Amino acid sequence: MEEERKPDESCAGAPEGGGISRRAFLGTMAAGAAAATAAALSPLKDIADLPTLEQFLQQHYKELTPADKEAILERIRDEVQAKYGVRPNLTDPQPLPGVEFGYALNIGRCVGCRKCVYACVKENNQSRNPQIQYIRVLQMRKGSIDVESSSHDYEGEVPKEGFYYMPVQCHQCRKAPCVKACPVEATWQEPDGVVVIDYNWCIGCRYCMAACPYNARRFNFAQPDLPKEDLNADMGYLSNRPRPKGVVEKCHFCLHRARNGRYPACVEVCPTGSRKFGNLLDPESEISYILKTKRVYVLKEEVGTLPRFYYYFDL
Amino acid sequence: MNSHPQEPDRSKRVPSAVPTRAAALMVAIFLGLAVFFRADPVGQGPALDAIPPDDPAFASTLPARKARTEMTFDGAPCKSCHEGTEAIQGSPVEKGVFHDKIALKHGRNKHCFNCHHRLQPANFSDFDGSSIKLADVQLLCAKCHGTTFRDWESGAHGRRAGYWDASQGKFKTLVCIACHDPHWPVFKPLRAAAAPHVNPRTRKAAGAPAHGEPAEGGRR
Amino acid sequence: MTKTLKDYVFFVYRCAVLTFEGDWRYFLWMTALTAGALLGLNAYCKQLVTGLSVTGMSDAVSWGLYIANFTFLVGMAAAAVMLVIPVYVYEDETLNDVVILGELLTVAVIVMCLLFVTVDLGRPDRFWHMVPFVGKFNWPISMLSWDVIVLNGYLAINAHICGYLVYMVYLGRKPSPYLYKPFVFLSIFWAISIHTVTAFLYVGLGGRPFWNAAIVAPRFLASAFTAGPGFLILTLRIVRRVTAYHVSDKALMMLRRIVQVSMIITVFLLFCELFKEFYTDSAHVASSRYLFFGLHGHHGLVPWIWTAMAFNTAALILLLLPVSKSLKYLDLACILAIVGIWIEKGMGMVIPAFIPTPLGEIVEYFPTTNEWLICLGIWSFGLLLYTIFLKMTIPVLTGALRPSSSTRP
Repeated sequence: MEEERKPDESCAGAPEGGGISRRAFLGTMAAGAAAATAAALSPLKDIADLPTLEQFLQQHYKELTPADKEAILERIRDEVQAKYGVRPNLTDPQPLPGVEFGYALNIGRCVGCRKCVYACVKENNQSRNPQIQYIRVLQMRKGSIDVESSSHDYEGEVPKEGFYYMPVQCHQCRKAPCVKACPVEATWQEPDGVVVIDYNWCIGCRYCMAACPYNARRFNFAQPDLPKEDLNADMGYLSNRPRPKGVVEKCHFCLHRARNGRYPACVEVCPTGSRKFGNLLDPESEISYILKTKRVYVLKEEVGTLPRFYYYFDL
Repeated sequence: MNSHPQEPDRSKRVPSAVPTRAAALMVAIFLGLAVFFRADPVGQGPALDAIPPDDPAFASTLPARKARTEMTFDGAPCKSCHEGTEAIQGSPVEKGVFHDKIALKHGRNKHCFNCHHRLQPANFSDFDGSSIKLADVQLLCAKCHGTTFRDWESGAHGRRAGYWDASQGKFKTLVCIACHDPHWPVFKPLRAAAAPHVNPRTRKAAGAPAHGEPAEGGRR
Repeated sequence: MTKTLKDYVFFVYRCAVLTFEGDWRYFLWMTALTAGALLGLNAYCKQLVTGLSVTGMSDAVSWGLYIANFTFLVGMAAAAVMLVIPVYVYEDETLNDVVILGELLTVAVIVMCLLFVTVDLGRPDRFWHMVPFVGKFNWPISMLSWDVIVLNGYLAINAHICGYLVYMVYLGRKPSPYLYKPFVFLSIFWAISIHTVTAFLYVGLGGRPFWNAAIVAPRFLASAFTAGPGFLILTLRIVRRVTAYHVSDKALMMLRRIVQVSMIITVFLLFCELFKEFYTDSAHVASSRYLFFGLHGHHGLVPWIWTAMAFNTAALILLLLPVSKSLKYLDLACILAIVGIWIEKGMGMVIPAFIPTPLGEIVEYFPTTNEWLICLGIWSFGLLLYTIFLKMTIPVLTGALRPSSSTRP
């Protein structure tokens, strides 16, 4: 190309009109642009959570062989130990045959104390700041089921005169719009009905959040902050292990507890016993009893999501 | 698309050199940018707000009240005063001693011996005068609250903890009086745990009515 | 085959060299765009390190300025079809000289679209999860997976058409219809589909009544066919001024008619939507009410949308009057229409659907400086790209660059 560059050089010797030569100019500009680019990229030196090659190449949950999975669980145990100083009891409990989870909430009994919110945060290792909470308690005007007239930030003594309370969390919909939305199948419905998220597969596009009619999904806008002493070391892979920055999370009915036969944390903490949980396929379970005998409704039935989370009342 | 071959390109007529002032301006732009990036006056955007740590009481699983395991009054067992040989009569309020501080707000159920046994003060009374032990207190409540008792037995009423799956473990339940004060069964108001944190940046509108209390009432 | 490829690469190289030519105004323009792009790059680096918390988005308003710009730009990309149809389907000569510039705009704009989606991702390092056959692609269920396909497909089709046609002009050969005609017709179908799919992205969400309306796709197309050709009018006016490339007044007037008709349809469809929302006055009107009048004392978008309404109305009136046959007024009308549509279809379309949230909470959205800088960066980069494309192509189209000519004609 050298000969084609000649004209450049010819004018390099004789700049016109007091200007600088094109070659010198382009060189200076290149240097200036390079300096500015380097400065522009400088924030990257603080990057702390660059994925390792292993993390980067990790396959989708459903593609993992048992050996892969065990290696990943071990890796995460190491990561948690390094960060929190505790070796977690991290497992990947599988769905139980013949079990489909259902949840019922007694709207007549709930007093809006928000204990469920904090039991959930504690159980599921949510980020404290930025704050992530899976359960939102709505203070509703008596005589209205319009959520728009609800208050989310009431404080002080509850229940308040003239109001009733409606906690909302992931409804584990049978026709889940979030599952349909996800472009990479990072969220799906398990055979026991729980909609789970592979935190190592989610790309953070937040389309599922736009799709959810219950505002149940939360996004890690920053690196989650969880004090060491608050870590719950009893962990499940698809449930409450610490999440990375930039992924979506939500209620999973405390999968690591529920699949080991236990009640979710929010059920156990509720001081009024408004929260009921169990196996929809077992006709003897309390949830089946409620669906059979109580007045039950689901939130936003018109959206057609067929939730597994029911509200009932008996007063 | 190519209807004007060989037409001289005006832009190519300009001298190849670049005016010094223009060149200096461009270099200055880049250097200024570099300085701007180093100084970083924009910063990382909104800083994290201070959120007080969660009060451990928020997640406490303790029941609403402490259920007694023995029938006592002010620490003294019933039989220390009541012999149990003859039926207790009258109202404690009239007698002005001990039990007069009991606040009874249990709907139409205003008589002590609807529940308490006249002869055996440590026990409760069934319809036919037979006794119900403290440990079986739910049977006492079932006298009036039959549907609630049925719901409690089936798990639709009351608290459960432990295992939903009987094949893996047992569930624990609580009796009526672990949550309800039998003399005043309606729940006393509780202090709600902290409201969710709201980024103040998203509530810029000054003077907006508190959310949930629309100015004109109702929606809109 | 290798010879052809080698020749083609050499052709691209020769064109690329041309981008280092120009007077100081050109360099200043490029410097300004580079500076804008670097501002965006710097802000994005900060976002990468800290997370999307540098933006004004929240769990309640989980999409913001990035997706708003994306939506607007998909429309700009689709708009080239309004030039392609007259030229290739009706074989109308008027727009013959400018259709290639429209297709080049498409290429630049799609790159911007892809960038806007990328900066919106929480985990850009996991982009490969979206690559068909390599990752796990939720196709055909997820509308977003359709969007990935149509956008990249449209980019490829247009890149091919532009590259091939310009190369043939360079060689002085008549382009073989087999090598571009099928792609041109495919691109017509594809242009409609990219914007329809983008609309369906919103329309398909039953939980967001503000979006869950069949009219969104037609509205998107109509506004795209206003803003896109409008932008092209402005570009052509500049090209005509600073290069030797001939753009006829007739072509500009033809584009004016396209913008005019599309603008009428845009405003009509907007009116239909507003009637349905406000006359019905159901609970679902909350988002629209927030957008136009504010809700419970929150008015974040009200100034924006009324600016857009004013601009759209002014643009419509100008376009309907003969005064816009004067190029100055036409420029003004185009600027007003583009800005109006950018607001209405970007912020005005994306944000209100999140306010109030499905649980009735009002969390407003205010973009942060970093967010604006990233948007500025992508717009600058896109314009930089388009300038480079024009700089590479126009000498070929004017005949200044031929295999026989020296690099610097």
